[in-house]
Amino acid sequence: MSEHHTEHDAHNSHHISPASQYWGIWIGLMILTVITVLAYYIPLWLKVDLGAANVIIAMAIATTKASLVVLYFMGLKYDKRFLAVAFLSSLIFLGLFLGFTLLDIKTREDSQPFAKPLYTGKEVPLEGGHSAGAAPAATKTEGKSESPASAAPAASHTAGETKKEEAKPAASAAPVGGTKH
Amino acid sequence: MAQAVDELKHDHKHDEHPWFFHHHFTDVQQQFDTAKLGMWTFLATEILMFGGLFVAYALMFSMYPEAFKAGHEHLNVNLGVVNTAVLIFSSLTMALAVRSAQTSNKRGIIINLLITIACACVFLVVKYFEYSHKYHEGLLPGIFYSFPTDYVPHIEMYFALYFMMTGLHGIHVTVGIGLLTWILLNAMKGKYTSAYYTQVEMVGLYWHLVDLIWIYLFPLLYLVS
Repeated sequence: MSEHHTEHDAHNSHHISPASQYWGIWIGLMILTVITVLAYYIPLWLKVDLGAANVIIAMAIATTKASLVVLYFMGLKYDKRFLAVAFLSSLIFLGLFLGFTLLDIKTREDSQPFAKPLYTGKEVPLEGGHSAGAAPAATKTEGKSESPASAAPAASHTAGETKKEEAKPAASAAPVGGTKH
Repeated sequence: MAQAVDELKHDHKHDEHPWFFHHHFTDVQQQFDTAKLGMWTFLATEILMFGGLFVAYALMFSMYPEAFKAGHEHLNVNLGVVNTAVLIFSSLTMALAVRSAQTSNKRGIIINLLITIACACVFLVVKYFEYSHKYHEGLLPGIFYSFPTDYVPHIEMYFALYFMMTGLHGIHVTVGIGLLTWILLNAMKGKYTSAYYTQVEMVGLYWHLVDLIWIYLFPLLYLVS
């Protein structure tokens, strides 16, 4: 057991934790796992609804477990502070990501991004202009019919090169015009 | 100029460079520290990659909690607990493998790595049974959801997240088995001693991160209430 805590041996300054410490951390992690499962089952048995507290308790236990793994198994406690900064910076950005996304979605009254059934490819979005989806589709066709008109003055300026370009929008506009008449 | 080159050559002759030392580092310690900083930076990007899925989970759960509660009831908590215990134990044996390398205990490295690989395989086998059960029941993401009864709106969203999160984690476990096998073979050749065990340490850090992700996935997916 002489090799324990040889924090500054001849070759380098690597910290070596005693094996008993790793086993101790493992026991701690197992106990916390049991507590997580009990925290899930006990309110169910007692038929108590803790609401949001459930998620908070579960996440608090998970974070305690994660801290044990990072500090002892991964040895961040005995390592350079700079490594901790590098690692924790990812958590800060994850916090920003999560925080602002939730703020955004929770402060809108109309945000139901997945309220409609998923689009299966069987439905036709445009049905005679009666459905709600007709409005954006209508603006699309308007935009198309405008494009040859806007391309026309450009064609008059530089006839040679733009003739080819003019031909394309005109061709794509033709079926749109055809359905209107 | 020529004199300087001669001096360099002279230095190289008398310097006893260990086989693992790369000439562009100042010394062995700096080489180790560089590898470690690179590894921790990589782990930070891993957190951010999984972070996207965690944010998606938080949003969907906050919008459709009923769907998530109904979805998690199709999961077997016992299998989740078994996999959690297996992964945590593999994390312990991984830490002990690194410690064996630090103390030049070749036999210790090999035994601990073998246990770690075995645990990883058990995890994937349990995951396979869980996946095949869900596949046959039709508990699948999005439009593939076809479980006949008790439909709760957006339950397919829960299974989309379930398969994406456990799937990405499962890919990491599979990659981990490959990495562990690689360092196991090296350890058998006697490559690692207390002077050089960078690869064991780095694979160890990766493996602990895989455990870390699962520590969050388990309550989020199996213990929704």
